[in-house]
Order: sequence, then C-alpha cells, then structure tokens
Amino acid sequence: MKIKNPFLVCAGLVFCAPIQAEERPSPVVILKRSISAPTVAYQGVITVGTRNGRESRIDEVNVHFKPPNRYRWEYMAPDGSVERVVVSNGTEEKICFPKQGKTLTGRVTRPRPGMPLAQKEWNLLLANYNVNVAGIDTIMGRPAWKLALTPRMAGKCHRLLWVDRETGVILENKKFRPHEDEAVLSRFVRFEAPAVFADTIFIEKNHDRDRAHAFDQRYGTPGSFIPTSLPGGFQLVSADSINLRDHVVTQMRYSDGLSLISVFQTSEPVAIPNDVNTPSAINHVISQPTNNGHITLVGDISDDLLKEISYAFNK
Amino acid sequence: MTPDDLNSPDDVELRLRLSRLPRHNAPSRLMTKLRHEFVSPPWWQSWRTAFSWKPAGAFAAAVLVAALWLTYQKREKPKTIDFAPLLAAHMRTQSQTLVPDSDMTAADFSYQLASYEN
Repeated sequence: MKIKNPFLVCAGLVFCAPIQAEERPSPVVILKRSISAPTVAYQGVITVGTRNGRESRIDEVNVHFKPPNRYRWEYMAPDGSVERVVVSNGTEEKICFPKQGKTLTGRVTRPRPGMPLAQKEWNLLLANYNVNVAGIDTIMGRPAWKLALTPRMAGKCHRLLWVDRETGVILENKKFRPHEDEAVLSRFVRFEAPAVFADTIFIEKNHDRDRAHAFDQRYGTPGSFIPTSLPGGFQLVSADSINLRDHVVTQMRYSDGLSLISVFQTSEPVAIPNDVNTPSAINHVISQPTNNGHITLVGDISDDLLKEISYAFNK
Repeated sequence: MTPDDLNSPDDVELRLRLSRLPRHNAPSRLMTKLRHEFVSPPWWQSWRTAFSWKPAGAFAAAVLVAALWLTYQKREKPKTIDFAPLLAAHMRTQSQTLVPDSDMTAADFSYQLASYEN
C-alpha cells in the first residue's frame, strides 16, 4: 500500500500517542491515583464479606462520599434497619449506634499523599510488594483496572484491586491469606458518580450527648525499648500510649506498606480468648512475657512470620 | 446421832419408809440459786453462759469461708488485661492505612467497637 501523505500519518501518530499512553498507564500510577482522594462525589452500596474457614459474615453498607474527604457509611441490618452509622468530616469521625442511643467520636489519621507518613508507607509498599496490572475488567458496566499487589516475601497476604478508570475509586478490593482462599472482599454492588446529595447527610447529631465519648484517647509517647524495624520488611510508623481505664498500654504500629502489625506492650499479661472474637477472625495473635513487661502482637500475616517477628522483642 | 444410832432397828425402819416415799425434784430456780451460792461452776460453764455460741460460731464459719473463697479467686484469676480493646485499637489502625484495607468501610472496627462497648 502506498502512503499518499506521510505527513498526515505522522501527525495522526503524534495525535494518538497521548491516548495510547492514557490507555496503558503504569500500575504505580494507577495505584497512586486510587489512594488519592477522589475528586468527584459518589454514592452506592458496598458489600463486605469476610471468610475464615467455615465462618463467614457479610455486611451491606450504604456509602456517600464528597470531596475532599467527607463520607457517610450506613451499616444495614438484614431487616433493612440501620445498625450503625459512621460519619466523617475528614478530621473527626463519629460512630453512632442508633438502637443503643450511643455516639462515639475519634480522630481520623488516615495518611494522605503528600504527608511524610504517607511517603514512608508508599516507599515501604514499593519495596515489599510487586505492583502489576493484571488486566481490565468490567465492574457494574464500568471499565476498571485490575491491580495485583504481590508480596516479595512468603507469609504475607496478597491483594487484588479493581480501580475505576473514570474516577479512580476502588470498586473491588480482595485480600488473600497465604495458601488460602480469599479472606476479605469489599465490592461495590451499586455505584453512582458523579452523585448529587445534600451536605446535611454528613451531619449526625449525637444520639446521647451525655454518653458521647472518644474511642481513641491517646496521649504521650512511650519511652521503653522499641525496635524501629522488624523482620519481613516492617518498619515502625507510629507509637502511642493508650489509656484503658486502669491500664496504660503502649501500641506500636509496624507497616510493610500494605499489611499492618500492632505490638501492644503491657505491664500485665493480656487475656487472649481461645476463640479470638474478631468478626472476620483474620488476625493472628501472639502474647508473651519479655524483659519489658508483656507484648502482644496482632497482624494478618502467617503464624511463622509473626513468631519470627516476636523474637525481636526478646532482646 | 452416832453411826451406831443409825443402825438401830428403828432407824433402819425409818430409812426404809423414807426410801419408799415418792421422789420430787426440787424447784429449778431454787437449785440454781443454791448452786450459785454454794458451788463455783467450772470455767467452761461460765463461758458458755457468758457467750451466745451459736451466732458467734456461724459468724466465724462465714469469715473462714469468705477468706478461703477470696484466696481461691486471687490464685485462680491473675490480674490480666482484656484483649477486646486492644483488638479494636488494632482494627482502628488497620482501617487507616495508605492503601485502603480490603475491609473498605472498616466494618470490622465498628462491629468490634459495638460488641466491646455493649
């Protein structure tokens, strides 16, 4: 075939190049976009399913979001009534239990891109996980990038994310435990963006003002021995003292960029129930005495890796 | 009267006749009064009358049982910290990571908080 006008062909290629690039962004770019706050308001319904062996649970949640960071989550009971409501203005979060007439408040400390903590977690994520585009799927008729986050070390969970191409919202989020089927799945079953709704939806009065209290009273910083890094690529991201009625507990949080381990240091031993009462029962727990009191490790990693990590506190 | 007098035939007869008479108990108040005036009771009897032993014994037994129970409780249940608030704190942290947790609406946390608070 003879090209009649090579200039026109070149111009066409130059014109189409950005479209081609936009069609195939790098997985890191897609991931970065998904963890940034969406710039569009949306509403929908998410189902959260957790499975551990024979036990499973499903939550249905009505979701409203408005940029930059306001959200409202309504957890529905099987009979259609609202069991609990979570409302946030970005800095404070209220958890309301309408049936019990109780409201709890707490700070929102979710790291946002640009914050030093976010940068640290981001660097850890890229160091400990491989990020790949596993394909393009259609979720509720919307094209979505399928991202695979695979750990570079055995004993950790791997993750699949479906990121909406238009808005960057994560439409589906699956976590798989090592050598097991999926453990936790969140999935939009209805999604509408852009959505229009009144701002009053983000105002939730305290159901019982006298009984409203904080659920994360934290103060001070711990002074005892704290390792800054742990086996498995985990790094210390924060540490606080938590006031629990008649005890002060130190919580150290270690992240590998995706998984999180909490290490609690206590003066007294922690009573771990035989059947750990987690709704999803996905967390592994080790509790043991050390030279600095007792430590309890909680994390969604394999028992072997958690055990290896616990040795770091026996030094 | 001498012992020889008591052995005389008249006295023997008198003693026999007396022994055949019906016996009557002396009034108890009179006996108590006589004992109190002429006989000193042994120490345990004086204690027995001074205290009311039944309530005192019951009280002592109750104290003993309570002491044993408290000792048992203290030994069986060492001072420990409840795990539920620690788990809630962990879930709170897990819900605030850079990449959203697979439980995107932190359902685990609020569920755990609800069971802990209730």
